[in-house]
Amino acid sequence: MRRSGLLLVFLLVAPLLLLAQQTAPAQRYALPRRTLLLEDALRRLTEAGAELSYRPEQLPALQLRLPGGRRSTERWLDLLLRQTGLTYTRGQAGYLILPDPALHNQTYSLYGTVSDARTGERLIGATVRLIGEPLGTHTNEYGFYTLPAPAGRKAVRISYVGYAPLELDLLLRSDSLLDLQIEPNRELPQIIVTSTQATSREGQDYFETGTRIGRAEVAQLGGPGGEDDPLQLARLLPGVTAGSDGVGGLFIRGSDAGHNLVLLDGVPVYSLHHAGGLFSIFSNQAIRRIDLYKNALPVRFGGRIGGVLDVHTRDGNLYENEVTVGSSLLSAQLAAEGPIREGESSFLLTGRYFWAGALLRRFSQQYKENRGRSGLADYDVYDLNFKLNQRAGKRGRVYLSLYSGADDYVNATASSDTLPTLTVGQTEFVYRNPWGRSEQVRWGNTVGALRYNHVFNDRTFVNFRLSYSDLSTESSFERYDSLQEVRQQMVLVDERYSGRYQSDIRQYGVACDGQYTLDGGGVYRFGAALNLHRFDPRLRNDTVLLSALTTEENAPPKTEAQRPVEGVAYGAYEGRFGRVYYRLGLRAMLWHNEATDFVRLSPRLLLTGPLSGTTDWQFSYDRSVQPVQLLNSQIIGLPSDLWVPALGDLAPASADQLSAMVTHRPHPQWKVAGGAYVKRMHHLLAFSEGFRSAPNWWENLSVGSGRAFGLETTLQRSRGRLRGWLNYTLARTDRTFDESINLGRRFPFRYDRRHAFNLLVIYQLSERTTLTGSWRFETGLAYSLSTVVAPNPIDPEGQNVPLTEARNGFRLRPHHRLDLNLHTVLGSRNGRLTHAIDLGLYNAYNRHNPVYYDTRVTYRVEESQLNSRREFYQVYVAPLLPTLSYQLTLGGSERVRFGR
Amino acid sequence: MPHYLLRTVSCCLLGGALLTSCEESIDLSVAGTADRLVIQSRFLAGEDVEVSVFGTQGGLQGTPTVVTDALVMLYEGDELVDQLSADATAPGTYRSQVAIPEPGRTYALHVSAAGYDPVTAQSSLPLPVQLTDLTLLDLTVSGQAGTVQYAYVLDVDYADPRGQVDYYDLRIYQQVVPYTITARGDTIRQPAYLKSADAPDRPAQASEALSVLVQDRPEDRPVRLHLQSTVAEDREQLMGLVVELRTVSSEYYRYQRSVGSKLSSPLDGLYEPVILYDNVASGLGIFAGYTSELRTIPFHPSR
Repeated sequence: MRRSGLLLVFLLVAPLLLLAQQTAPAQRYALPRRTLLLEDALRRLTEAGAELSYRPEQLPALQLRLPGGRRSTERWLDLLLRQTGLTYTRGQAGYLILPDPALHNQTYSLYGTVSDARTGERLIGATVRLIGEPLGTHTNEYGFYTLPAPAGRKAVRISYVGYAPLELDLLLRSDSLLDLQIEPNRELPQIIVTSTQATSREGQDYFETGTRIGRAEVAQLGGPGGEDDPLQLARLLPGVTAGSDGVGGLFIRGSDAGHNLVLLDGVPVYSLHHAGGLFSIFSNQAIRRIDLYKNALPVRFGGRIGGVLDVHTRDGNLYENEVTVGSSLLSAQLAAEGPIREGESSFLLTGRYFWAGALLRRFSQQYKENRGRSGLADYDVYDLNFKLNQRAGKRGRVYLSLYSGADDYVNATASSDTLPTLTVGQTEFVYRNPWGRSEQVRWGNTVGALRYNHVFNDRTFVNFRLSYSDLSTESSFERYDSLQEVRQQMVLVDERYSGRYQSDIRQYGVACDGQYTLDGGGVYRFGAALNLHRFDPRLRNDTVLLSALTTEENAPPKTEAQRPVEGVAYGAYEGRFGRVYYRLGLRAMLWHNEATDFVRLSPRLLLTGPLSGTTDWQFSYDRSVQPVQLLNSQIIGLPSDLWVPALGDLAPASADQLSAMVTHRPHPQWKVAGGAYVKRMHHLLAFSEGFRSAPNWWENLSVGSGRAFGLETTLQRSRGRLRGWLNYTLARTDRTFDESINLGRRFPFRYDRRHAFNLLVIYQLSERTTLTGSWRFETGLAYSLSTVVAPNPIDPEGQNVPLTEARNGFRLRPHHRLDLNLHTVLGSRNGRLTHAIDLGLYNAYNRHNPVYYDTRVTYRVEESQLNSRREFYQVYVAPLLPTLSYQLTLGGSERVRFGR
Repeated sequence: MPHYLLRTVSCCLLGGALLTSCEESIDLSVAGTADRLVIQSRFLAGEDVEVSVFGTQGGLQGTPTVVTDALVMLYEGDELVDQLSADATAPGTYRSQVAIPEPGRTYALHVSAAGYDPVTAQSSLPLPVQLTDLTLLDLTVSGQAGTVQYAYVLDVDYADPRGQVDYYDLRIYQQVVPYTITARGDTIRQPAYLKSADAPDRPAQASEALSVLVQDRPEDRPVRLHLQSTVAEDREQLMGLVVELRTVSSEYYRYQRSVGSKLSSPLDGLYEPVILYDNVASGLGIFAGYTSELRTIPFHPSR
C-alpha cells in the first residue's frame, strides 16, 4: 500500500519537473577568442560557473583556437572535446568529462603512403609508429602502410633514414587515410647501406630481411672509370662474390649467376651486366634503391633459386624540374625529371652511352699491330630508362617504366709467324704457324612494366602489373691453331673450333600483389601471376672455321621455339607470438611446357625476434624453384650464355636453404652480426664436357646438384664521420653432375671462395665531401687447369695432350684489390646548380687478378729442331687506373647527399 | 690538352677492361706435383698384353718421356701370372710372355720405375656378346663431283644379357676395294681396305671407324644408326659394311667416352676441358680391354 502511494506521487510530479527543466533556459558562459590549452579552457569555463569534473592527467596537451562568445556548457564541451578521445555525461554534480568508452573499445586503421616531401618519391621501409605504445609498422615496397590502433588521441612518429622525423598528434575516431610526407635532412648523421632489419631499435622491422643499397652510398663508392655501379657495393656484402673484378656476374651464397632473381620494378631481367660483369645495367641515376636478399625470401619472390636483387627505380620529381648531365671516363650520361602536372604526375628519363668505343677500336688496332698481330676490338653500349607516374584518384597511382639496353662487342686477333729451319744436312724447312682468336657478342635487354597501385580500404592494398621482358643474344667465336711446312705443303697441326649461339627470350606477364592487415597487426601478403614465355635457343659448335658455320646448311638448327606457360599463386602470413615474430609462406607454381607439367610448392619460414634489448636472432627456411636455367658456354659468364626452360626430363631446379643469424648492438653506432647457412641445390643443368655435337640444346646437357655452406660475420659502424664495415665469410660450395661432367665426381664450384674479407671505410671529410676506400680479399677462383702433359691417348705417334685431371681442381691466385674514391658535391648559393665530382683510383696497388689462364703453343727453332712449348698467359681485367666523373645538376631542390 | 688526356686515359682503361691487352705470360709451377707414370695398354682376350709406359716430365710445360726401365707385373687376383718384358723394337713397350687374358677374369697391372711412384690398375675382360641381326634399310644413292654417297639406315641387334649392365663399343667400317683402269682398259683391283662411315650431317673421312658407345641394348628394338658412306667413284668400289661389336669393360667405356669428347674440344682457357677418365692409381692412363665379334654385310647398291 505504501509502495503504491509513492508511485502515484512520482507519476504526478515527474511530468511537472520535466516540463520545468525543458522550459528553463540553459546557462551560457563566455570564453575569450584566443588560443588556449584544453586544460586552460576547461578551467576558465569552470571559473565562469560551469559545473565540470575531470581528471587533468587525462587531458591531452591540445592547443585550441577558441571562437569566443557565449555558449552553453554542452556547446562548449562539444567544441572543446571534438579533437580528443574524451566525452562527457551530465550527473548530479554537473558534467563529468571522461575517456570515451565507445572509442576505447574500437580499433581503427591509420593507412596511406609515406613519401619524400621535396620530390614526391614514395619511401620504402619508412617507419610509422605510435609514440608511447608498442605499435608500429613499415611502408611496403610500394610506400604503403597500414597501422591498426585503438581509437583515441594518438601521437604518431614517422621516420626514415636520412629524413627528419615527423611527429603528428591526431585523433583516431575512424579508419583514416593519411598520406604522409617527410623532409630529407642532411643535418642528420649519415647511415650507410645496411641490413634493413634495424639500424636502431626505433626502426625495428623483423620482417624486412633484405639489405638495402641506396644511390647515395653507391655514389660515394664510385666505380671503374668513375662509373657508379650499385653492384660494386653489393659485392662488398658478406656471402656475395663475383668473378675477378666482377667478370662473370654476381654470386650469392654458392649459387650460379643465373640463379639470381633480378627484378626491375618487379619484372624479371635476364641479363644483369654490361661488359661481362664489369658494370651492371643499373644506372645510378635511375635507381632509387636495391634490396638484396640472401635468405628469408618474402614469398612474392620466386622463379630463381639464388639470391634476389629487387631494383626499384625512381619515380621522378613531382614538384620541380631537374636535369643532370655528366660524364665518366667511359660514358656520357643524361638524366631529366620533373612534374608533368605538379604533385600529380611526373617523368624520369636517364640514358648512358659508352662513347669510348671508337677510341677502343683505334687503340686496339694499334696495340695489336705493335705486337705483330692483326685485328681489332670494338664495343658499343647504351642503356635508357624511362618512367612515368600519374596519380589516379585519391587511392591509386599508375606507373609506366621502361628499360632498354644493348651491347655489341667484337674482338679478333690473328697472327702468322714464319720459322725457317736449316737442318744439319743443310735442308731448309720453312714452318708457318697461323693462329687466330675471335669473338663477337651482341645482346640487348628490354624490360617494361605498367603498374597500378590501389588502396582498396584501410586494410587492403593491391598492386597490379602488366610486364614484358626480353633478351636477345647472338654470339660467335672461333679458335684456330695450325703448323704448316711451306715447302712440302704439309699440315702438321690443324686445330679448329668455332661456334654460334643465338637466343631469344621473351616473357609477358600479368600479376597482382596484395597486402591485407589484421587488427592485431598480423599481415597477409598474397598474389598471383601468369607468365607466358618464349625461348628460342640455338647453338652449333664444330671443329671447323667459323665461315663454315655461316653457311645455310651449317647454321645453328632451327628448332621450334619453346612456349612455356607459368602460373603462380602465393600467400604468406606475418604475425607475432610473444617475443617471436614469424612469417609463414607458401608459393605454388605450375609450369607447362609442351606436353609436360611441373607443379612445385615452395614453403618459406621466418622466425625472428629479440633475445635482449640489444640482441636479435633470426632463423629461416627457404625452398625455391627455378624453371628456367642459364647454361654457360664459357667458364666466365657472358650474355651469350643460353637460358633454357624446364622440359620433359629436364625438371625445374630447386633449392633448400636453412639460415640462422644473431645480431648484437653493443653501442647505437656499432653492430656485430654472425650467421650461418646450409644450402642444397637440385636438378641443376650444365653443358656436358667437350664437343657439343647434338643439334638440339637439350641433348648436350648434364644434370646435377650442388651444396653450399657458409659462416658470415660483420662488424659495422653505421654513423659518425668514420663509418663502414669489415666482414669475413668462410664458405664452401661444390657441384656433382652425371658422368658427362668431371666423370660424375664432386668438384668445387668455380666461385667457391673459401675465405673472403671485405672492408669498406667511408670518411666524412666535410659536410659535402667523403673519401671512400674499399678493399677485398678472396680465395682464388677454382679453375680447370691442365696440370700434366701425357701421350696422345688415341695415337701414340700424335701430339702430346695436356690433361686436366679434375674440374676446377686448381686455384688461381687470391683476388684482392683496393679502390679509393673522393666524392664531393658543390652547390650554388641558390641551390639551383649542383656539381658532383668523383676522383679516385681503381685497383690502387695494381694487383693483377687472374680471370683465367690462356694456353698457347709456341714454336721455336732450337739447334735446328722445331720445338713446341706450351705457354700460359694470365688474363686479368685491369691494372691501376684513375677514375674520374663529373655531373652537373640544374634545377630541383638542393641535393641531399651527406650528413655530418 | 685535357681532351687528349681524357682520351688517353680512356683508351688505357678500355684496353684493359675489355681484355684486349691485359694478359701476361706467367710461369706456373704447381707445388707438390711430382712426375708420374702414364700407361697405355692393349688388353684383349686371347692376345698378349701390351703396355706402353711413359713418364710425365716438368709438370705443366714439359713433355712426356718413354720409360725403358719399368718393372711391369700382371696379376690375376692375388696371383702373379706374368712379368712383362721390354720390346726391343719399341722402347717403352712391354709384352706379356706367358699370360693370355681370358674373358670373365679380373687382372691387375703393377708398374714401377726408378724416379716414379709405382702405379696399379685393375680391369676385367667381359664375356663376348653375339651379334644377332644386321639390317640395311632405306638406301639412297647420290653423286657429286666424282664421289658417290650412300645414305642408309643400319639396324644392329645383339644378345644383350638381361639383368646386368653391359657396355658396348659398336664400330662400323666400310670395306672399299681400290682399283685403277689402265690405258688398255684393264681394271686392276688392289687389296681391300677399311674406310669410315659417318652420320649424314658430317662428311665421311678416311680415318678411324665410326664408334658408337652403347650401354645395354635399347628396350625392345635394335640399335639404329643413320649413316653415310662416301667413295670416289673413279677409283673405289664399296664392297660391304664391317660391323664390329666390342663388349667392353666399364673402364674402357668411360675412357672412350671421355676421350671422344676431349679430342674435339678446344684447348683454350675460356672453355671447360674434358676430364679424361683413367683407372691407374697414383698415375695416369688406362688399363682396359674388350672382347669382340666381327661381321660383314655385302653391299651391292645400284645407282
